Amino acid sequence: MNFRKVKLSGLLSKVFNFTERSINKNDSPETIAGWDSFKALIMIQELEIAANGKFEIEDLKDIRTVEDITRLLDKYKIPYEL
Amino acid sequence: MRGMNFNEIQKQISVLVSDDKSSVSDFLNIEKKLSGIKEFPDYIRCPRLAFLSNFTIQGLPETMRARGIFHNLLPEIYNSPYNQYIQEILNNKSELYRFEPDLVYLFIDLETLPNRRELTDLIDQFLVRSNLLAGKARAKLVVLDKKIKNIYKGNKQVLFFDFFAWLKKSNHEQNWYTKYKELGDMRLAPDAFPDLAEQLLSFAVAVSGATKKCVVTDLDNTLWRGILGEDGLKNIKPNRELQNYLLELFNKGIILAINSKNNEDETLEVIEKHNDIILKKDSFAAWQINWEDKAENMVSLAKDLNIGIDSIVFLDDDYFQQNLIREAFPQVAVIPFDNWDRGIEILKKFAGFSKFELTKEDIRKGQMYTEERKRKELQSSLKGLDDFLKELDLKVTVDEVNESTIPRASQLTQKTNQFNLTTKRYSEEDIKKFLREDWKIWTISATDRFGDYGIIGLAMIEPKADEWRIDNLLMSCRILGRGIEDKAVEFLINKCKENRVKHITAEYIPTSKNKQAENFLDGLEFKLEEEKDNHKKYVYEF
Repeated sequence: MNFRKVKLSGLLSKVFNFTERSINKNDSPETIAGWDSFKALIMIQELEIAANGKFEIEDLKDIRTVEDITRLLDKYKIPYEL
Repeated sequence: MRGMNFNEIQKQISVLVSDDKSSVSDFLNIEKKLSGIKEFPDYIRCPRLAFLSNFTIQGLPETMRARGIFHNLLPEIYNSPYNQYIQEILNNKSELYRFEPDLVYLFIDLETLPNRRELTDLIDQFLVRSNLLAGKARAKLVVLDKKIKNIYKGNKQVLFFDFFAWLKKSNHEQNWYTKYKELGDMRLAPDAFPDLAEQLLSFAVAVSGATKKCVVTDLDNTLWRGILGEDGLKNIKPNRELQNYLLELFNKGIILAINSKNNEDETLEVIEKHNDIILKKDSFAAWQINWEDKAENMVSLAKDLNIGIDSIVFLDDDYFQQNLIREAFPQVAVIPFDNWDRGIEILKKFAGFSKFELTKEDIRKGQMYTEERKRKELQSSLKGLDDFLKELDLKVTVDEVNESTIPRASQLTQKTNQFNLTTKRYSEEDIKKFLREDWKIWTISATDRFGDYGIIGLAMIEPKADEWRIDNLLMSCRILGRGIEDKAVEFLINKCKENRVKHITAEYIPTSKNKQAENFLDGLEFKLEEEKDNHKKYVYEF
């Protein structure tokens, strides 16, 4: 599959609707306002659109932090930047 | 400054709707911005939409609220808590009834209901409670299952949306029952929300009376490929799919008009002569074909057609012109045609043409406006009104209202503002009730050499012992000044004589819009009996 490079900070700022903020791997629902169960689903949808691919459900159940997202992207060999 | 921030948002939505890369997040972000805005332009309507479901639809109502702005709607939303639909319907004191919705969307996935009977029971319960508790007009229910449609045949309160046919037709079958169901009981993946929101908004458009009336199209590189002035008649290639669809809209009563930078005479000649141009001069009610600013042309078209700018859809391939119109009139629905396939896709899915009921007059509207253009052309070629009326060969008929004309009669009471003696608004049920009480209700129709105007007026009489009370007399404004209103009163007087009525009473109730009818009865031998704050009461003695 031809994955596209994912720009994580742009994607997360779109999903969680923030502008003046940088992203790091420790970010999680505790540090990003609005990261609830609904927005987590929307984030997955945006990741799939951005990467031009689909994730298996088993790989999505344990995403709790930005680091988990990067692990997911690594697993699928999807290029990304924070 | 009123509405300025809102206008910025409306422009953003207009761009977003035409962008095939827009996602739910984009709409959710716009929806969030709306909460900070307190003032909206006058043309914005705010239907109250409630959502009941047995699975997660979070994000869909919000997408509809944002996307509604493209249709000049700003819906108020109530999304019932997850899987609480039964309690919401059965409890008279629930938030649902307190919200007083105009529309309730019922999203019940039948896979998890034992049988359809359970659904119809719920619908029946809703109807009973809603009608009992409604503080205003009765809420309509939109059901996403067509299999029970026959049970509610004739019930105008229960509407159907064939969700599964829509999934198939719009290529969203792959978004039903995906991994999102397991992750959060979101049985429809959010990828489908923007498209579904547009389809479901058609009900909100209809319930709010925000239906678009007119499509204004550009010509070069929109209605045909090529630039007429440079490529010439032989080298332009008409956009068949768009023309066919515009013709379809025209046959459903949508008015067609042109806004194009070209030479008028040359362009009209091409439209008439080109074999592959299906839309001829007769299809268009008005045009502005010139080298003027397209925003100014839009004002002229709206004025010429006597319609609000907010009821216009504009098609153009040129990014500059699209933005010019968005900037000048955010209330116009701009559909870009720089990519023909995308343009036609948006136009075909566009919810803004939706109406619950089409009367015969609605269906003929596009045609009627074209006929009106020809009348104006004739009038300007003749010296005076008398010559014009003679040339028109106008024929007026008056008929008792009947089952098939009641919807139009009700529509006229709801929509007519200018020549309307009392501006009393009546539903179809009201009119049926008056007929049961032996009222005399007549529709007034007219034809002339250019075509059929359809039913353009209404007279409503309440007969008492030896008196007839004119409850209302109204006439569509586009027909005024042709003597039809006088003929209607002449008819009424003759009917009174036939029925040995001793006197007729009538009144004029002033509103901000019906000044045109203010002195009408004074000129017809009606005697002014009483006048207070311009509210006039008349009597006509035989």
